[in-house]
Amino acid sequence: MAARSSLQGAAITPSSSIPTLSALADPPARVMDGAAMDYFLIELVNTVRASSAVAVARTKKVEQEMIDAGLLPVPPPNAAAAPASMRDSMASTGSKLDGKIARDEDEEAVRLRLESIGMHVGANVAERLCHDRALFENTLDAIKFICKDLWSACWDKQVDNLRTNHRGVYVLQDNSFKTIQRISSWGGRADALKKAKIYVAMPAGIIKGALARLGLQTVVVPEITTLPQCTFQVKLPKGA
Amino acid sequence: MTIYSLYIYDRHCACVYYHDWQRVKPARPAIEGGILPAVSHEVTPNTNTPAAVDPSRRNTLMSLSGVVVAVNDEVPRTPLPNATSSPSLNSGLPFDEEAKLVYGVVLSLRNMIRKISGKDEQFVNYRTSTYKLHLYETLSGYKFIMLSDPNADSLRFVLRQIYSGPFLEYVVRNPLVQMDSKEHGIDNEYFRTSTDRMIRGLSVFQ
Repeated sequence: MAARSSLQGAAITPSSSIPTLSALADPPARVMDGAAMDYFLIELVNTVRASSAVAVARTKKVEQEMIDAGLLPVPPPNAAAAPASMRDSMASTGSKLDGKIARDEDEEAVRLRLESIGMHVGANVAERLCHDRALFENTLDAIKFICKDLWSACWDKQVDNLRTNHRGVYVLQDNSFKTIQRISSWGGRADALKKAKIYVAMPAGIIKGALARLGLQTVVVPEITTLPQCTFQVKLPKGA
Repeated sequence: MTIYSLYIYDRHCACVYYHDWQRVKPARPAIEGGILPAVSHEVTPNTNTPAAVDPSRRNTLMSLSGVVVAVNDEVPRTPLPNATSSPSLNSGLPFDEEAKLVYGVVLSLRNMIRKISGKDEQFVNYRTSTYKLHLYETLSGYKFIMLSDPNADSLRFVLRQIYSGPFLEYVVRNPLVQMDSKEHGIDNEYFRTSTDRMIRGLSVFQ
């Protein structure tokens, strides 16, 4: 409605509507409260975890029904990791291994969902950020854009260290990554590190999505060595 | 002027955090199931040493420099077998009893004051001959209780600083801390070190 009235006004009184038009073309930057974003992301991970557990349980149930009905072959038991002859004595560890594998599968499902959410977000953020930029000359330029503009838009700072092997692998290092800066656990540093891994899945997705929208298909692998330092390894396909 | 200890209670009336700087007798680990996990490493019950708990010695009036424990002569609520332990451990209550006492004192005083003077009156602190207890209560129901020596000024502003500083940063904005959960306390490494640093940096500390 406001847009239409400003366009109509443009024919009659151009001087007063020019500020409105230019405001449309170049909107003022909108900012979001950092704390609100943090709370939202915390809840996002919890919600995705719960919903992904439901989804995985549902597919497992359907699979089981199909196995029972004979439509699918019976999968080899997970105790194939432990030799069959020792299965009796290792029954307890076998079940522990099953438990661990199931938990890892769940974590993997959560991570995939978070990464795909991040990809959508990253693509749109990149779209917005480059609307008045020139084309990128080469891949390095695109990566530098990620390191500077995307990082300051999402996490209020720039990447601390960028390394490359000039063969398509870039390592972006952030010495104090905002998303994991406040993570601390009752169980000590090691426990906190383990639990923090899921919280960098979405930022990795943001980077991946932004690069994808800029035309580069990449694989982004986040790694946390010590809190709050985080590195993202960006692998470009051969020939890029 | 020194500061003795800090307790934080959530709106479910459970102790979720404990930190002490000075006590006459060391805090005794709580009975299993008495307190939530993640309150404080010192007072978490350690299942490997059952001999640490001895509730039979509770019927004495003890004066710790941090907590005045006035126990009535009731039979212990949780019947536990007598354990033989060294005399240095038979002093004061196990931590969960102590925490409940502190909370009970604060709650009863607060309710009494509200009834006498009306809703606008707030209980701020009380003083005895050995300690002074300060209370800061947030709108969300978190109660920050600090015990200090009797000559201290009101430490309400310190508690407020703890709330708006380390608490908001490392508890509310920490993804790994479940706030408002009935099963976990809020202790974590960053919160503990930052409150410690903040308190030790105060001019009123020691």
